[in-house]
Amino acid sequence: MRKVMPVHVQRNSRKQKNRQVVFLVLALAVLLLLIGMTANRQGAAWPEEMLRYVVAPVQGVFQRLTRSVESFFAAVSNYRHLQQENDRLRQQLAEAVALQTKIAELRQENNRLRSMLELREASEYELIAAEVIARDPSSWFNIITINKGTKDGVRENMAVITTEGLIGSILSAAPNSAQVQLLTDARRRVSALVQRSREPGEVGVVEYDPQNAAYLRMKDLPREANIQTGDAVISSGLGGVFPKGLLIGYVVETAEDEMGLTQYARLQPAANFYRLEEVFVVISEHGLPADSEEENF
Amino acid sequence: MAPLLIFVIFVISLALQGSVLALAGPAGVQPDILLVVTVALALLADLRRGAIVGMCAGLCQDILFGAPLGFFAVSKMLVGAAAGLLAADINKELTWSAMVLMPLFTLFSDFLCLILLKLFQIAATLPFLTYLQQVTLPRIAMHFLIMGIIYPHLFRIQKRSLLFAESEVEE
Repeated sequence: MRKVMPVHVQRNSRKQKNRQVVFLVLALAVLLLLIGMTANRQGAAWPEEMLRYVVAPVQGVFQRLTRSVESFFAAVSNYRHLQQENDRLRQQLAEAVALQTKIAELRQENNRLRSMLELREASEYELIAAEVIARDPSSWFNIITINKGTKDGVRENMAVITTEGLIGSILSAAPNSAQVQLLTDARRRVSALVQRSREPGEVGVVEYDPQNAAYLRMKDLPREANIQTGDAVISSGLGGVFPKGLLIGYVVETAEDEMGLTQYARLQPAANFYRLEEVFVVISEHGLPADSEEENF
Repeated sequence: MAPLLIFVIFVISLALQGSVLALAGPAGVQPDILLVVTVALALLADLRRGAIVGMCAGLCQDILFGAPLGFFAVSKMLVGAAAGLLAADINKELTWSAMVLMPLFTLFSDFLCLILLKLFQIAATLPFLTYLQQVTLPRIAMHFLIMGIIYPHLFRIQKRSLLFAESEVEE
């Protein structure tokens, strides 16, 4: 049988429900106002910096844990492969195989670090090496967190590269961490030109490709622009945020826009945006012009 | 004690999110563990507490990952409120009930994000349909499985009334 609540209990329950709805509506209004105020923000307020300051070391610990897990699985798969090939000698060589795996891993790391060092020495810019410690989980915004911040000299709008090429710029910096807005983020764009021709009149804008998240798109190129499949595209340095000459990607196809007035190119990014581990922040004298075409939008 | 415990759960989730779970998905798609935690906690609480938990989780995400402040706070607050609304009607001892609801909340969350992007004219990295295909669908599968792992633990913690006071949940 259904239990009937006394009238005063029903009234209390209704009151409480009303209070909950009022709370929800108020919170919603405040948060919507907040979004409106910060939709195109650059930088971070002190409470944000404080929270990042607390969480960054924890993220660093988990990142190291991730690397260990990754290395472990790499070692396991390598070991399995060798097991198939060397079944007869498996037991005798178990230790040697483990050692070999370790050496291969160290060699890979050595190569990676060497290429980073070479880049650092060869680069005309001063670079700050940093590790990626987190990535925005939403996929709506392509932002990563690195373990270097204002204490290390990282400032907003500095370009960020890997040994492969340009990946983005600093969105905001806390004392011990910083947010990097990747080129694949819809709010980021970079002024670029084709490295082969270097025609000053053939400067385009590289931004995310709305058709395919794995590619970038170079648009606003003159119809007669000298651009071919396989061409390397570099930053032009004209936008005021990114220094000139940073490799962005390679042309995989070109086409005219709908009106036939300009052409655009689809680019294969030089860097792998899905596997970012070590990056460099480029210290340059470039300012932060508010009206720059490379500015967030 | 309870807010501190929930904050610790958030910090661990956020740290896991950016590191270990980055390995989980194909082509850069990774689960939103904070969303799973929000839904799990809200299903163990009520509308108000679900909304508060969601709002705090979303704010942490906004602050740590550079989204417009309040963006994920709104979406996660509404998801938390919706999950909290259902809390009284589900059998909390059954992990399956939470797992079955998780895909719906994943869709709801992405739908809310789309509305906010349109509302504030924020450029989206992918068109919504492409996002649904490339991100939401794999994520639904991941969230379903992760809920199966997370929920029983949170349920056991809540059974000892460590997350929310029992009297408040009953209301």
